[in-house]
Amino acid sequence: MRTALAIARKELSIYFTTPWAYGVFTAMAALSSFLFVNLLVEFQLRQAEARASSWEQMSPNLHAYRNLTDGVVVPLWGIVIAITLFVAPFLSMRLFAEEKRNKTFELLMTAPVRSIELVLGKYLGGLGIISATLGTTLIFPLVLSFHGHAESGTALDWTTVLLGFGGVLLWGATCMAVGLFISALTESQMLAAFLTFAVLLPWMMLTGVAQSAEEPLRSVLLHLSFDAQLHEMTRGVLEVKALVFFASVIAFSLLLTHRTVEARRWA
Amino acid sequence: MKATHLGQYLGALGLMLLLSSPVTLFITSGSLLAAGVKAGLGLVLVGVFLATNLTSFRQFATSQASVALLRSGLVVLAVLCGLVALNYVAATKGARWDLTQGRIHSLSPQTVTALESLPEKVVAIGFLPPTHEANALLESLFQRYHEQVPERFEYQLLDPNNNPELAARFNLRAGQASVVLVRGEGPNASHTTAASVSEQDLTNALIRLTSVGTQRVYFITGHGEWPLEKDQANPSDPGATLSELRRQLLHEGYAADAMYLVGTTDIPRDASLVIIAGARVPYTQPEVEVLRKYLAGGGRMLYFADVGLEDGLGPLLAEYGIQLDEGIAADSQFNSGNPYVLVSKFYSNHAIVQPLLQRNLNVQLPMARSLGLLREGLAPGVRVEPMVHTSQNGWVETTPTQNAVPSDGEKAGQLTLAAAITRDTSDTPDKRFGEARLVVLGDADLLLDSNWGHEANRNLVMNALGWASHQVARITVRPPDREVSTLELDLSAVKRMRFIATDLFPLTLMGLGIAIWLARRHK
Repeated sequence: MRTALAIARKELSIYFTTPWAYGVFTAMAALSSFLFVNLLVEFQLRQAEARASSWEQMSPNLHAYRNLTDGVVVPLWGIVIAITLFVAPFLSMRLFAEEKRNKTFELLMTAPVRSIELVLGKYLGGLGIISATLGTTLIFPLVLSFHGHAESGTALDWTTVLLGFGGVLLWGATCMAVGLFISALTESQMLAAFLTFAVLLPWMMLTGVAQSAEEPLRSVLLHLSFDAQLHEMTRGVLEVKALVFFASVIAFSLLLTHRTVEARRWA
Repeated sequence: MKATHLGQYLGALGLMLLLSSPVTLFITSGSLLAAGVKAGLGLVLVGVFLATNLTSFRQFATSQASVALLRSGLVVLAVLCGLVALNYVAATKGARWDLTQGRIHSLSPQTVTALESLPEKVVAIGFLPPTHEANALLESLFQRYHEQVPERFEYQLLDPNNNPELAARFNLRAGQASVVLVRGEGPNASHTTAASVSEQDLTNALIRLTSVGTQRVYFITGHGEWPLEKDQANPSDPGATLSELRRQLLHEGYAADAMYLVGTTDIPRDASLVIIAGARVPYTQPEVEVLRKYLAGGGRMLYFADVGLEDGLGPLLAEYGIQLDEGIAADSQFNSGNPYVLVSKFYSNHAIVQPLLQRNLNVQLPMARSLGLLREGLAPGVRVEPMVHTSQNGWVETTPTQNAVPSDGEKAGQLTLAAAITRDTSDTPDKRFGEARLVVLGDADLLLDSNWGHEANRNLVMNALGWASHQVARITVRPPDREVSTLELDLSAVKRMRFIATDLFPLTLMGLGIAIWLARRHK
C-alpha cells in the first residue's frame, strides 16, 4: 500500500504542477458558476410568483422552489454531474496512456512494483484530482448559506447538500475508474479521453432508454443507469443499492485495468 | 487482399452486428425478425473470421499467453457474476435512509394508513410520455407505495401514445400526463384519477377510490361565516376565505357545499357533517332548533369559534358540555412571540390529536377562545373529551393590551382550546347515526387560506373532519412540505455574485495555473 500511496503522490504532484489541471478547474468553475447564477435567477423568479399567489396554487412540479436546497442545490448537483462527464475523461486520459507514449510504462513494469499497487496508485492519484476539481463547487452552497434565509435559521438542509456532494464525488470516482481502464488500453491520450466519454455518455443516458422499455428490462436498465442511481442521493436519500452499484463499477473497472496491465507482462 | 485480412474485417463487422442486435430488439425497432437477421448475419461473419484465421488461432491456443488470457477471463467472469449477485441482493433487499429534514422523501403516515387499510388490490397506472419531467418522480413514488404493501399495490408506467385503448377507456386526452388508480377487475372495476404527480394527490385518490360513496360536508352560511370561494372574499382581505380547505376536502373525497338554514326544518339526509366556521351574526331560534334536532339524531358537526363573536349557539353548546370563555386565550411561555398567538404541544390521548403527538407537531392558534367544560345541564349520553390545551401558564385576557399579563379575576392555568364530544343516540327514532359527534375549536382563523399552510393546524382540522365523519383512515398526519427558505438578492447583488462566480473565480484558478506553468518554465 505504501508503494501505491507513493505513486498516488507522484501523480498528484504532476497534476498540480501542470497548467492542464488548472485549465480543467477553470472550465469546471466557469461552467458551473454560469449555470449556478442562472439557477439563482430562476429560483428568485419562482419565489416571486409564489408570493404573488401561493405555493398551493402553483404546480406541484414547482414546489421544489419552496426551498433553496431543493430549488438550487439539488439541480446544481445535477449540472455538476453532467459537467463531470466531460471533464473526467480529460483528467483520466493521461494516467496510463502518457506512460505508454513516453515509453516509461516498460520501466514501470520492470520496477519492483506490483501491478495492483500500480493500478491503485494511479487510481488514488486520479481520485485526488477529481475530488479537488469537484471540491471547487462546494463554494456555491457556502455562498447560499450566507445569503439565504429561513424561519428555522438555517437556509440549507446541510445533510441533503453534503449527501448530494457525496453522490457527485462517487460519480467522479466512477468516471476516473472507467477512464483509468480505457487509458490502460491505448497510448493515445485523446483516444482514451474520447473513448471514456463514449462509454460514459450512453451509460448515463440509460434512464431515457429504460423509460421506453417494458419490465423486467426496464428495472435492469434503471439499475444500470448512473443517472437513476444518483437521483435519490442528490435529493438527500441514501440507498444501499446505489452504493453497491457504484462500488461494483469501480471495483470491476479496477479489475479490468489490473488484468490489462498484467497482460503486458505475458503478451 | 489476403483472405485472413478480409476475414478479420468481416469478423469485426459480424461482432458489431451480433452485439448490437439486443439494441435493435429492445430499443430501436423492437422487431424480433430484424434483430434475428442481424444476429444471424453477425454469427455467419464471425464464423468466416474463425475459418479464415484458423492457423492463428491454433498458434494462440498453444501459447502461454492464451492460458494466461483464459485464466484472466475466468477471473473477470467470476468477479462479474459475484458483483451481479451482490447488486441483485442490494436492489431487492437494500435499505434506504431518508436523511432530509422532515423526512420529506418518505411516505407520510397518511399514506401508510391509507395503504394498509386497502381492502383489495389497487393497480396504479402512470400515463406519461417517456420524456415527461415527472416520470422519475412518479416511478419513485410508485415504488415506495409498492414496497409498503407489495401484495395490494401494483403499478405500471405506460406511454399514452402507445396505449390509446387504455387512454380511451379512462377518458384521457392525448398527450395528457395522468395517474389512474384501478380497484378490482373486470366489469366491477372502479377507477379514479390523481390530480397531479405528488404523494398528497396520489394518496387522496387512493382514499377516494377505497371510500364507499362520497362524504358530503355542508358549510352553514348566512351568519357572516367565512366564504368558501375566493370570488366571495372581501376585496380588502382576499385571503379570508376557506377555498384551500374546500380544495383539500375535494381532494380527500369529500363533497363540500354551502347551506342556508333559514327556511329549512332539517339538515339534508346526505350530510356526513356540517361545519360552522366563525359565525358573527346570531342564529335565529328556528335555526338553532334545526341544529339541535340534527345533533340529537346522531348528526356530526365541527364548530369553530372566534374572539368576540356572539352567534347565539351558546345554549346548544352548553347542552354538549361546552361554554366559550369571554376574552382571548393567552400564554406567557408557549407562544410565537405574542402571548395571543398560542403555540401548543399539549394534547390529550384523543384519536384526533394522537398523530400530532406522535410526530411532535405544534399547533399554532392566533387569537383563540378557550373552552369551559361543563358537568351539569348536559343532554343525555353526552361525553366531553378535551384535546388541545395551553401550557400551565395560560390565562384568559379580558382586557387585551399589547404586553398583556394575567390580572386578578381572570381565568388562569391550563386552558382547553379544543374538545371532542360524543352523544349516544342509538335509542333515538329515525336517527342518522347511533352516535352524535361534535368537535369544538376555539379558533376559526386557522381555517383561512392564509393560514392553511401550517402543517399541524391543517392536520388537526382534517383529523377532526375524519373523526367526526367516522373516516378512520383520514385521522393521520399528511405529507409535510419543505420549509420555505428565501434568497434576498437585489439586482446589484445578483450582478455582484455573477461577477464573482463567473468571472473572478474561474480567472483566479486560471491565473494560478499560468503562474505555476511560468514558474516551472523558468526553473
